[in-house]
This record gives sequence, structure tokens and C-alpha cells, in this order.
Amino acid sequence: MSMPSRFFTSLILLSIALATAFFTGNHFMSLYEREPVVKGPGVTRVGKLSDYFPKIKNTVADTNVYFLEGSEPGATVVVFGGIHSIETAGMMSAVLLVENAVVKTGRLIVVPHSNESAFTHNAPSEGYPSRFTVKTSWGSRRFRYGDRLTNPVHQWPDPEIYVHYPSGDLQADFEVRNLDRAFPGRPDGGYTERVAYALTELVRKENAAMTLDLHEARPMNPIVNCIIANERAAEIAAMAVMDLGMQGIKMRLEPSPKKLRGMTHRELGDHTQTLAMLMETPSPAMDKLHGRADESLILTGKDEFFRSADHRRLLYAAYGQNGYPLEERVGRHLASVTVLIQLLAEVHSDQKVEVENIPEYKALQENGIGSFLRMPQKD
Amino acid sequence: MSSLSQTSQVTIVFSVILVAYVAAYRLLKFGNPLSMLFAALIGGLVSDFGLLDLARHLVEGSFTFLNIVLIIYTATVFIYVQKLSGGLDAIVRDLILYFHAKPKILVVFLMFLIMLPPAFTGPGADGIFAFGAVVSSILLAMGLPLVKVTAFIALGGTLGVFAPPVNIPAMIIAAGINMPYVGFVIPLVFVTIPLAVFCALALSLKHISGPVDVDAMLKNLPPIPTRMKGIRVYLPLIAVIGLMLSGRAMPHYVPHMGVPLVFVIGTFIALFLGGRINFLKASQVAFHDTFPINSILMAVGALVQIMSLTGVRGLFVLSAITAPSFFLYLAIFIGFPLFAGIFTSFGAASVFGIPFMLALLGRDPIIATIGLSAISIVGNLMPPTAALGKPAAIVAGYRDAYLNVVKVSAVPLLAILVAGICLVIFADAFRFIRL
Repeated sequence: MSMPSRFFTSLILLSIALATAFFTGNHFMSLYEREPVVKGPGVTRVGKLSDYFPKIKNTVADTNVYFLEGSEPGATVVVFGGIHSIETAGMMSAVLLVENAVVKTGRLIVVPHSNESAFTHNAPSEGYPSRFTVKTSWGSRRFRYGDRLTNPVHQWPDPEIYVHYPSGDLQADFEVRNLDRAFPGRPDGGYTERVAYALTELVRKENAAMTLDLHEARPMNPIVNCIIANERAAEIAAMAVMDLGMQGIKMRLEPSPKKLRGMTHRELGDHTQTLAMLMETPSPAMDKLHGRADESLILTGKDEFFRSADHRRLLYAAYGQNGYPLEERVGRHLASVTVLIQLLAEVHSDQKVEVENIPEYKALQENGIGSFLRMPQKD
Repeated sequence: MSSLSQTSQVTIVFSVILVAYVAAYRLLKFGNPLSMLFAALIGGLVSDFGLLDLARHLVEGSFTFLNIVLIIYTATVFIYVQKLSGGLDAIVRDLILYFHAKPKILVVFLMFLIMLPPAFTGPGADGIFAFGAVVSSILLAMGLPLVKVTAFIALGGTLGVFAPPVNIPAMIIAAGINMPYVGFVIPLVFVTIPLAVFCALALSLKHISGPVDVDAMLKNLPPIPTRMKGIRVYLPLIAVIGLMLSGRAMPHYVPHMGVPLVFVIGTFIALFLGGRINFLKASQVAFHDTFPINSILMAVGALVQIMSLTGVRGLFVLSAITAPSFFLYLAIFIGFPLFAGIFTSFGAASVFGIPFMLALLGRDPIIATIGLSAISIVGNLMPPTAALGKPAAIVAGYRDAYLNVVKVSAVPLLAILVAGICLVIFADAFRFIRL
């Protein structure tokens, strides 16, 4: 190649690279814009996670903590969404609680975006959409999809091997950025451990009687459509599973493994006073089996590959006629939350929490999630 | 395409990606990395994704192996500076003097030497870059051809990935089926040691059966600077291995700095031990030599992202896990290592290892997981990525066709594959090695 030709080729390639960097850079930075969560009629105040651990103030880790307080004194229930941001039904269920629930007795404390950093990026090689849109009667709401792990921009590099604190349990390297492997956390640990510490402090300082962590799992994962309960919460979880079954919502009870460390149901149950439980609904987008990865997969959960896998009995969450729609997954979470709150007072008479207006399973199927989302007002 | 079934649509997309790759590589002479990027772009466009959306996916995907790219570059600079300082030749001289009378023990020792860092830290590149240069110099001096030396180092690195206590593919698979990484160490010891001994001897026995001429071996070594003696010779290596292992030994007290920074610190120490070194030149040469493998890694990341986006990855997974038992074993035996040649053993463990293990549930999960992890590590030598094979070639200075490395590794790789598939199929029968 002659010198001028080489020069122009280089110039063209450099221009393409710069244009790509400019566009994609803007896109990646746009993921730092947080979507609004509208204060519903039950929200009495909005706090910050940094109120429990000031070291994270003015960092990406800080996030809103929504208080829904009743007029009558009672116990406190904490709900975490977005510990894994791609487990969409967990975050959406928490948002619907904030925007709809009204507490009569006791308190409900909701953190919809527990790991804010995880919402600011997508995992390389996964091909996930950055956002998804939920249609409503007044327009639409956009939500970030994110990643299961903390953004490496906020915690990097990963060690060769992750050693959980304080148990010393060995886990794969990337788990160091997995918030649900970091509990109870450390005030002087890495970003993810600090967020876990702040959330643990919230549970401890607010004297939460019960903590519900809303997740999703791969349909090929045996731990799906279930409530995973710390042994102290096993009784109430078992009762909830029966109650849900009577409503036609099949959830299984899974004991929290003692040797799998860092998860909320294990560590919050062991290190705080709370009854710790974690719920899992099926999300096909999380499974490597999925076909085209787009917004539709997140919202409808429809994918032919899962039907084929279900025919061969390879799934632990049956692929129904309608796939795994988000309405069904959110409905499952909210029905579980409702039942567990009701049972708390039955099992522990001094720990009453009464909550009204949580979107019901059937109503979500019939009307869609959009009908329970409020229109954000411009400040 | 919307009237077609999902399987047909995705199959068409995959075919288009293949055709685009071949066209770019053969007709347009784009070279391997650019051909992969081109194929990824065409695959995305055919799937009806917009150009701007695809730009984001291609950039995002190219970050998949960022850590490996950084390790390869910084470690290569470390080795080059070690060579220029004379430290590497001094270590080779010492090892030849200590072990020349027992060449069989020496080659087995060298195999374990490469395996040592990744056994504790995970990635095989740690061992290849820490000890690969030393080992290659000794093996060359012993009379092994360069292609076999490259294979030896690559196999050492990949067996280090498999070796206990830290077997990351097994960890990834175990985490994927919610199984704690507990009870793996003893069975891994039982499988790793015979495989390592076999691989070391299979590659070298033909060349080390005769008497070793120590004087001739030492004469072939370049002159070593007079300052290079005693502890100075070993300081950079001690620093690198020490920093790697200290983070592992005291994870909650030693700040984790990452392997690239460890190699930078090792390089910094090596710079001041021997004679004058042109650091700028060494880093430029290292960049030039590592550019081919690093550009392939980035392009593979982008291609994998598009395969995930368009559903091609899902089609592969579905085909693998829905196959009848015989074909499932065949997919594990042949398909798994080949895909690990694209995704690396870590990536393949995540993409295929977990679904495979789920399809294999009902047998001893620890032994079956160990078997799958053994098969996955074979992929570290498989093109196009050859995540450990190509770094081994850089370290050994091998510049001929990479496929020759795969050819001379055939017997050891087959041994690993057979051991792996036996552990998978007869997992329950092998339960006794858990003790």
C-alpha cells in the first residue's frame, strides 16, 4: 500500500473509531441517569442508603430508601429489589410496592435499586438490551436492565478467586461483584461489600422483623419459583407456600444452604434479628438458552427454545402457553410478599404489619403492569 | 423471516455469520479479527438490529476479555525485560545445573512449575507468563523442538487451570447449579497429577532419553551479566509469585491489585537488577508481538456478544442439551472443547458447562463437574482463540502455523478428554476418589 493510500485508510479507520467511541460513550454514560420511582400514596418519607453507612454518601452506591409507615405502630418489613438488576421482576415488584402500597399498621421499607452500580452497565458478551419499556394508559415508562454484577468501573479488577468475608468460602472470581454473595458486607471492603454492609445496617438499625429479597433465576436452575428461607424463617415460609398454593400460585420452599455463603437469606438471617427470605421467579433472558435477546424477551418471556427444553423436561419452571410474562413473575413476587406479611402477625403476634393496595396476582395478569405505574411528575 | 420458526431464523443468521466470515477472510483478505467483526456486524444487521445499536454491542462485547488482554500484554513486557536483564538465563543455568542428571524428573518438575500459579490463582496465563520463558529455555536446551516446547507450556497452563485448589471452570459450573465449591480438592488431586505427569513425558520422552550434555547446554546460553547472581536473579519472580499468592493467602488484608499490576511491579523490579534495558523498546516489541492474540480476543468477544444477541448461542445450547444421551456425550466430548476454543474454558463453562451439568443431574455432581471442567480446559489450546496456546507461543517465541502446536499436543489433549468424559459418564463409579 502506498503512503498516501495508507494515510487515508488510517484516517478513515480512525474517524470510524472516534465516531463509534463518541456514540457508544454517550450511550454508556446515559445509563447513569436513574429512572424515576413515583412516590405512591403510602410513602411517608424517602431516605437514603447512606443514612445507614455515611461512607457511601455522594457515590453511585447511594440509593433511595422508601418508607411506607402506618398510623398504628407495628413491626417492620424490609423489601429489597434490584440486588441483581437483570432480575427485572424483583425491581419492578419493589417499584409497584412504592407506587401503590398503603400501610395501616407497622412499616414497610422498600429499596427498589439495591445495587445502583449494576444498573449502569450491561454484561459484555451477553447482548442484553440496555433498557425496556412498559406501556401505560398515559404513555410509557423506561427502565434500565443492567447486569447481575457491580459495574467494573466501580470495582475492578476482580481477584483470581473470591474469598467471602467472614466465612472464607471460595467462589469464582466474578462473584466478588455479586451483591448477593457479599452479605453481611464490610465497611472497609470493596464497593459491593460496602453496599452489602449498608443494607445489613439498614436491616439491623430499623429492627426489621422480616426481610424479603426479590430475585429471578434461570428456568433451567433448580432453585426457581421458590422461597429460600433461613432456618429461622422456615416455618413462616412453609406456611406461605401452602397459602400461595391454595391461591393457585405454586411456589416451593427451599432451605437456605449453610455452605453457600454471602446471600441475604443466609447472612441477614445469621447476622441480624430479621427473618430472612429470598424469592425467585423464572427469567428466560438470564438463561444462556434464550433466542433473540431484546425487550420483548424481558417483558413477555416468550421464546421457542424454552418450549423445546420444556418438552424434554429440562426446565424447573414450566414454560406455559404464554411464556414467562413479566406480569406473572411480578404477580408471583407480590402475592408472596402479601402472604408473608399477613403470616408474620399470625406466627409472631407482636409483629403486626398491615398493608393494603398491593397489586394482586390476577389484576396484574388482566390489566398489565403499566396500569399500576404512576406518571412521573417533572420536578 | 418472521414467518419462519425461531430455530429456522436463528439457523439462517448463523449461516450468514459463517458466510460473512469466510467472505471477509478469503475474498476481502480482512484478517481474522476484522473478519470476525465483519461477520458479527452482518449477523446483527440480518437479525434486524439497527447500526447504532450494533455499534454499542460490538464495543461492549470487545470488553469481554479485557482482563486477559491486559495480562497478556503486561506479562509479555515482564518476560522481555527479564530476558534483557539476563535474569531469565541465570535461572535457566541454575535449573540445568541442579537437575541435569535426572531429565525425566526435571520435565515433570517443569510441568508442575507452570501449573503452580494458576493452581492457586485460577487463570493459566499466570503460570505461562511467570515461568513459561524459563521452562521454554530449559526444554529447548534439552533438545525439544520449539513446537513441542510451546505445546508443553500451553498444556502446563491449561492443566494449572484444572489443578486444585482453584479450578475456575468447576467453580463456575458448581455455582450455576447452586452447588458449593466444597469437596473438589482431593478428587482434583487424583486426576491432575497423573495427567500432568503423562502430558510432560508424552511430549518430551523421545527427546530426553539420551545422556544430557550439560556443558553444551550451558554453552548455548547467552552471557549473563556479572551482577546477575544470588537473590537478584529470583527477585522479580519472587515478587510476582509472592504478590499473586499473598492476595490469595490473606484476601481480606492484602489489597487486590490484579494480575496486570503484579506483572508491572515485577517488570519494575527487573529493570533495576541487570544491565541497562531499553524499556520503551521492550514494551513496543511486546505490544507488536501480542497484538495478534489480543485483537483476536477482542473480536471474539464482539462476535460472542452478537451470537448471544441474535440467539445463535441459545441455538447451540439447545442443540447440545436436547441431544439424546449418546449425542450429549458426543457434544461434550467434541463440541464442548471446540466451543471452549472460541469462548475460552471459563466462558464455555458458563455458556455450555452449566446446561450440560443440568442435563447430567442424577449422577455424582462433583465428579461430573470435574469431568466437564477437564474437557473445557482442552479448549484453551483450540483455535481460533486458543486463550493459552497463543500466549504460550508468544512466550516460547514460536511463530509458525499455530495448528502444528495442536497437532503435537494431540495425544496429551486426547488423554485429558478421555479422562474427562470417563468422569462424566461414570461419575458414580469414580465417587471413591472423593475419599
